[in-house]
Amino acid sequence: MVKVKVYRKDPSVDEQAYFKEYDVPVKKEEKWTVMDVLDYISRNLDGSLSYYRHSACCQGICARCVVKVNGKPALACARTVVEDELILEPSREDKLVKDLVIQV
Amino acid sequence: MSYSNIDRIVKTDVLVIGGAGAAVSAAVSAYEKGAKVTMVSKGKVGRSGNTIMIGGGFGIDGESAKKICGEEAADLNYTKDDVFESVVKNSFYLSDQNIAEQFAEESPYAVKQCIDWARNAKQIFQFIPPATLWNTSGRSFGNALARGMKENPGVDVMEDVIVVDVLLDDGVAVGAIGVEVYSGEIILFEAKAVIIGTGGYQPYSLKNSISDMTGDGIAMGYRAGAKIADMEFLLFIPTAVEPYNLRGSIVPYLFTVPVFFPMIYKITDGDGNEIEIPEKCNKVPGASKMMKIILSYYWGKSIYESYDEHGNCMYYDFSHCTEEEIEEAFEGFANHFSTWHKKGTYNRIDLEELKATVLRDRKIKVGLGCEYSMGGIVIDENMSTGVPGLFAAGEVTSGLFGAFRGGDGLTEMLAHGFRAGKSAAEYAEDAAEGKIDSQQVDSIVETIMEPFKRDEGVSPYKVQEKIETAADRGFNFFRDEEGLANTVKTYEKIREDMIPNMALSSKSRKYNFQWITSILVRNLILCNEVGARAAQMRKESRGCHMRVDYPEVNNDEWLVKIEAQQEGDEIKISTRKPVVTRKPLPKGKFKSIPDYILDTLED
Repeated sequence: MVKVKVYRKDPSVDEQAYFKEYDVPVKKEEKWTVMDVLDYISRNLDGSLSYYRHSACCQGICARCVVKVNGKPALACARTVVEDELILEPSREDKLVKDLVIQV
Repeated sequence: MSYSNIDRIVKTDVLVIGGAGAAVSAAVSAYEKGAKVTMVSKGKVGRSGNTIMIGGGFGIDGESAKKICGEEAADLNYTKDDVFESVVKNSFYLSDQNIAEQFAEESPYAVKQCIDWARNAKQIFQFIPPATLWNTSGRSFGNALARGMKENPGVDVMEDVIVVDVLLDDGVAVGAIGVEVYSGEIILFEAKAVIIGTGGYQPYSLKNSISDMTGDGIAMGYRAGAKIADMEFLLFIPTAVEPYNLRGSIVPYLFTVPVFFPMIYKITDGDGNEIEIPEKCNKVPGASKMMKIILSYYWGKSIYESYDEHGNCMYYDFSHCTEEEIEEAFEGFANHFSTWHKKGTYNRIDLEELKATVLRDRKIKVGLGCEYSMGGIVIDENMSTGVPGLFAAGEVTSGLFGAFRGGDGLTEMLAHGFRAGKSAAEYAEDAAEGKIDSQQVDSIVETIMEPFKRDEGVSPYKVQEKIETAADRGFNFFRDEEGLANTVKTYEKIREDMIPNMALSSKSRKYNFQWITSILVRNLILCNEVGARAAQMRKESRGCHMRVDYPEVNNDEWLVKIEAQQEGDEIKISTRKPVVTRKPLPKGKFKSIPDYILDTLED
């Protein structure tokens, strides 16, 4: 089980960003990606979470699913989860649309 | 006129829906004809659509490659007639031959333009003499298309907008409604002509195509009154299943091409037994497109037989290979693709890591994933859909490839776009400004906003999962009556019970992908249902439609296209013969799909 802390903010409603925590049953040997983790959360735990998912290649080609993983920007679809804890944040807060989604 | 439920209105002559090869080609072609053009893309141009997912190349006839595209080393023996012949034969004769003629004749001009963009964008499109094809990567192709738009700044481009439906004025296309994904704004487009170039549909849970191939354009075209056909034909290639960081990659398919990965490995089923391909199939050249069907046939049959136990699963088994052989094959593979990919990678895949996995586990888990859908909107050789003002181009159409895509999808999209742009611009020039039907606008907006109003209901993600798993079970590469009947029943139930009861976790319109999914699943369910119904109706095997209970290729009874058209709320299904211009339709029956392929090789 991996503890995942996710940055949440809908600028039209929330004044302050906050983190929400989810437990995700990542099996290390299955080599989940951050995208797999986000899909798991949105499909099973919290459908209100926004992260880049439309027109996503999931193969590191379109390069649009950038998020900050434990402080470092990475493509969600290409970053394998090896940690026991993850902190996921938008890659740029100044371009924030909602949660992990930015528009550049 | 103003509408209370519309956030923005955009006026144009030619509205092009889509953002990859077909749409860019169409937009530029219409613009060159003098039309005011607006292109609306679901993602970012050059970084969206199925075009960027490609693993190979595309070709045209030799004389054109030399004279039009300037490739001196092109093989002049491969003529336009050969292009036409091979597409028609490989389609198992379901190709509409007027479309195949257009493909052979007009593709060189469209290809030339794209090659120029690639060159100007410093992308490598490697010509492989003496063949008449260019090899490239998805990212390079995307960059070439983005360059095409940059060179035509007069085309207005709107990105990250998902078009929902085409607007009609008395049966004539006059615009569309779209949603901007980030803001959730609803946009009304007024246009004199509309071109759909949104790509095909992908019914299953294992994806090697881009994530959103939900058949939007096919469904929009259908709802606008166009016919759709050949929806039962979907093309499969070996696709990685595990580990998850490989899932969806087409590297296993590329491993089947000897020049990319020169190593013999075994294919085993879920229980570890070898799946063999009969020796007679050695006659099919390894690089031939027909090889895709041969692999789907033998590997697919084995997966089908143990599906209940193992799912969509087989293994590439390297247990008998030496360490040196594995090292060498991976080095060759990495070298070949380093022309387009960072050395040691293939897209997101670290090839060193994959090699280490192969050396340790001696196997990788693979399934058959859908690469391309042959079905779609019925068009004529001018890319007209039969609905006045509505045109279509690329994978969203049907007509060229019939039961099997035995030609290049990239060439198809460019050739179609080239013609669709011209046709739409000509049409728009003479067309009067259409009248927007505010009732239709209200009804479309109401439909898409409905899930917001429901406090409880089913998640659109769940609906998509149900649609895909039902396709995995009964409408996959190998099919039987019971599985298809169950799938069709499941789809009727989803359509009646789930689609009208979708609810959302967030009421915000801002990047609400659950909401976007609720719009897209309406398209997917239609495509999947029509596909499954056509597959159930077709009591034979042909091309990519493989039935365990009807293994024969039956030209005497089933050399027909299955078409669907909206009639009230009903899906009206009918059949017709393919359009014949010069190659007569064959007669007779073949025992199986491989028998048919081996027989046609001998012609």
